[in-house]
Amino acid sequence: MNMVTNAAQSMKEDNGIIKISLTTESLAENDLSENRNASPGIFVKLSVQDNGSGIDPSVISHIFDPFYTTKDVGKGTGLGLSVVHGIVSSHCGLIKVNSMPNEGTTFDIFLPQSEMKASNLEASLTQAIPGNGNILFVDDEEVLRNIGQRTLSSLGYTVMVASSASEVIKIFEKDPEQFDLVITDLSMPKMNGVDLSKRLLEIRPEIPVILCSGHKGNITDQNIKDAGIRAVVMKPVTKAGLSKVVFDVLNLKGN
Amino acid sequence: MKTILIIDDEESIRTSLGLMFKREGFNVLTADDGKKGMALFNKNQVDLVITDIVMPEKEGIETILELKKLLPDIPIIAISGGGRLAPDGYLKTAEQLGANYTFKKPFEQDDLLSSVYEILKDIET
Repeated sequence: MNMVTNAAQSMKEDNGIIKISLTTESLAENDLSENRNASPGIFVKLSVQDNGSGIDPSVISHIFDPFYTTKDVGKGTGLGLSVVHGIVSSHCGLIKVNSMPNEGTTFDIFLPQSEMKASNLEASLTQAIPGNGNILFVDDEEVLRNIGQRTLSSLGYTVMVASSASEVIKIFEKDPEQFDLVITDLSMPKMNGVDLSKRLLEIRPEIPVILCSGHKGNITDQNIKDAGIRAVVMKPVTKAGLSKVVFDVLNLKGN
Repeated sequence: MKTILIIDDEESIRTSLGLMFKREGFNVLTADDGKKGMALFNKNQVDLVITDIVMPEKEGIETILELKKLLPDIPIIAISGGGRLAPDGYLKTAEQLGANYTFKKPFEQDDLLSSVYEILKDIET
């Protein structure tokens, strides 16, 4: 949109043609000088071509600079092409521009072609790893317990929640083999997650425990190791992040 | 009481951060995409915005542009896990557009909290 708007603004009000095309093109190493993060391969090429006034050679090297504008005061922020450039670069793409005064301008945006169909993109974007097993999720905040339960259930796990260390210990003493994993918050009243982990390992030495925390505070890495905790997840926890740690711990990769 | 607007499509992020800021005495508004975030921003007195980048409906870069257009001095913190791609490019763009701080997920809540206090302290002095 930004590039088409620029193209329109470069032309006289009653006369002008803007051509937009989408093709694929193969780019080699020596085609990628505009972005060192780009890799050779097949790219989708979006071209926006106009027959407007063109860009003066003295200006063209600055057009992607933030806040650079040739428009009158109040008519443009100078951010449009800078933002376009930033977005394209962050996708490992590149922009090429060809322009001569009074001969129009062509912007070519190259973006790496995805090998995945659109229907697979959502799964790849979230990167959440499903799994199975029985998990005990412990947090003294009800709203976080609810989210933890929903998140882990959506990944395929069977989840029980508990609101305190004492509740967890009662559950464990009744049936130590019930769970495959315990995920506990660090900061809880009366007994924190580290001490809870030590207590659980006294009841069942091989039970994996994951600690969730917004801050470690006075807890050291040695404390965590001594408590037998397999992994620490920093809050705020993302679904993808939690799913990976849980999967790794349950599959004996967590440390 | 200062108001913080948190825009992120992940419920766990909105809730976890929201709880933290409420405990610290802030008023918290949340939205799960940029469009809803802008609607809340337009209806409320917001002192600071924390926004994710990759979101449905209206993503973070466009949201930051609109926020700065409406209120150039609004403090913004951009956060991103980047989706399928590395978040660095998105966060660099966010910085160019005026984000005061950027955080790559996963990050420690305490670090985000510190940056919020830094920003608010700078505004008051």
